[in-house]
Amino acid sequence: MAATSRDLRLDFFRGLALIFIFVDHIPDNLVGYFTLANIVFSDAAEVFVFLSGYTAALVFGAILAQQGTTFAVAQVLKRCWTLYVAHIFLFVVFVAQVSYTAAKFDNPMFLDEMKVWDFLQEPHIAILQALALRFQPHFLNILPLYIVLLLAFAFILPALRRWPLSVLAVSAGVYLAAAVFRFNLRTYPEGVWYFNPFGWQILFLIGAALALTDGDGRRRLREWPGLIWLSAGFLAVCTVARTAMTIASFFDAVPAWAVQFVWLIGDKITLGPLRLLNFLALAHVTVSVLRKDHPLFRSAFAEPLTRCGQHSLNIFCLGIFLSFLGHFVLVEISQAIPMHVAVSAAGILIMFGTAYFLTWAKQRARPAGNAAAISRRLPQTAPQGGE
Amino acid sequence: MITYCRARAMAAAVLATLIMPLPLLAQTPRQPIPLPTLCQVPDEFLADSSPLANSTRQLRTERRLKIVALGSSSTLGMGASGPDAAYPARLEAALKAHLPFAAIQVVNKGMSRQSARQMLDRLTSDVLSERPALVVWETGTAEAVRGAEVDDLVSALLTGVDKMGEAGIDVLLMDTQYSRSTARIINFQPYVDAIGQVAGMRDLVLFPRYLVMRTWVDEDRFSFTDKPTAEARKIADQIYDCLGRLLARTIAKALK
Repeated sequence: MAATSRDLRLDFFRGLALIFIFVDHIPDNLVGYFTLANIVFSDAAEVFVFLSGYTAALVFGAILAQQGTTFAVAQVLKRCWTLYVAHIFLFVVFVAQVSYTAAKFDNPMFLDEMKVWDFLQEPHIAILQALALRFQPHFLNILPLYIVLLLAFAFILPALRRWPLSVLAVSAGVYLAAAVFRFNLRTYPEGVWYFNPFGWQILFLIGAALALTDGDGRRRLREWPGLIWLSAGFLAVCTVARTAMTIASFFDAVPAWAVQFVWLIGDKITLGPLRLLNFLALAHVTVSVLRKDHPLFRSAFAEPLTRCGQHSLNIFCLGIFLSFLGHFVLVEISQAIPMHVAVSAAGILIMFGTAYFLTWAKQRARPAGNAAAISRRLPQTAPQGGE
Repeated sequence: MITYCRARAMAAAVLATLIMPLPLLAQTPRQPIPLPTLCQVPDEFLADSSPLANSTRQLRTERRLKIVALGSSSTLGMGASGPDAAYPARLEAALKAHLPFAAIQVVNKGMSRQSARQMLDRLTSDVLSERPALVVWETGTAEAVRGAEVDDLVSALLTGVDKMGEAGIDVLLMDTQYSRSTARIINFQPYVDAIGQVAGMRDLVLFPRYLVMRTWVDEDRFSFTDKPTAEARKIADQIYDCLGRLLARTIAKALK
């Protein structure tokens, strides 16, 4: 089967990012100190967006080559719809949690301030705003970004295949403009998108462009004299600086200038240049060290993560749901350190278990072998380039 | 989390003791003011910090201390039995015990559901015109509930702090309230962190209300669950009283 040519690194690192997203989304979770976000200046969000761009170009680029532009655009839009429905599902989970809390709310000291929570005052408006992706309660902001990026990608893909460098140049222009003039989409009731699509698009498109270039292009980039040393050096500096800041934060000893500097060039909203370059260096070093045929990716250790990555949307939604649940357990039952570890471990095991179940269910469905199943399999059989 | 914060505060306290100039240690010790068991938190929460220079000067030269409590609903005393039970009034009472020979005045400038940015708009009329030596700025809750931009809170705080600094006013920052039910649906941590960072950037005294209240909640000292209104009000009074006492202790510590 063509699956042997599938680049398992995509699945592996996407799975890892999903685990990090789950762990980081439980507020105050001590296990979060061991995720990417506290070691380097970028975090799982960059991994997720970059790999999403890469995979989107791989899958829909192949469809475009074989079945034409119109059909490819239709397929991208179909995928957008799936993401949109998933987002609305998570929103409903969130609403359930809020209404439950509001119905039992008994703290007079907070009552007045909670009135700011317009959602409880006018649910009809909040729900419409949520449908328009403008109401983004905390932690429900990654999927809206993914949806608008993919929506735009439907129309960018044909151009990106033909004139990759020009498209990237425009993308860089938009990125810089968003950083300088700080324009962003608005949210309800106030504020702006947590992930500014005008900033984050550049990472998605870099991923997409790398997937579309042939293996030769990627190899030339990899073998560009000195580039790997530049990446490794920059990554080392970032790692040392960020880890030092994490450790210093335990003692309240992070110098104010360092905080201000990172704030200035490494903000998450517009994807500050520090975060972007840090991630690109990390990605470059990772793919240079861990080649596609590295035994790691076929090992028993990697398998659960790879499975998670292969069902990324389902596992992502599950992870967000579990992080709500995990926070509930930490707040209501115990804050003890072993509890942080137990909650994180339980969540990860549930994600692994679900990923295996989904794999099993998909494999069982396959032998039926109707036309729909074949077209669904198309992404896996897409040409993978010569890497 | 609590353990980690304690370790962090402890490390800071040890560090502060080591580098503290000797004359401060030699100062005559004040009479320890007793603190009800209900209010107690680990000492490190009220860690030694930078001195309140303007307040100390006013206290020494004029034998008085004027404080403005700038904040939102919880400064106003929402949920308590009346304005006398709000934390600024309790702070005034507690501070009088710490500084019996000075005239202490705490002016309540709380306004329901306001963000730091909105408080900035009334800085001249409500704060500067009062000519206090110290402002206790309670903020962050409105931002957290609305999910407003953290950067916006930071820039509003920095602007306000700098304006008050130019006017010769000390600023003490107080972060958000804590309750279990709200912590489930609102992510306070980024706003609490941001307020801590602003305090670090401008070397201000920070009153970690979120951490303090969380300690009480985790130890089940106060619970509103299934309490009738009258009783809930009494509990709110107790909490505000404890906050006032702890804040008085923090301020007294920073008057050097």
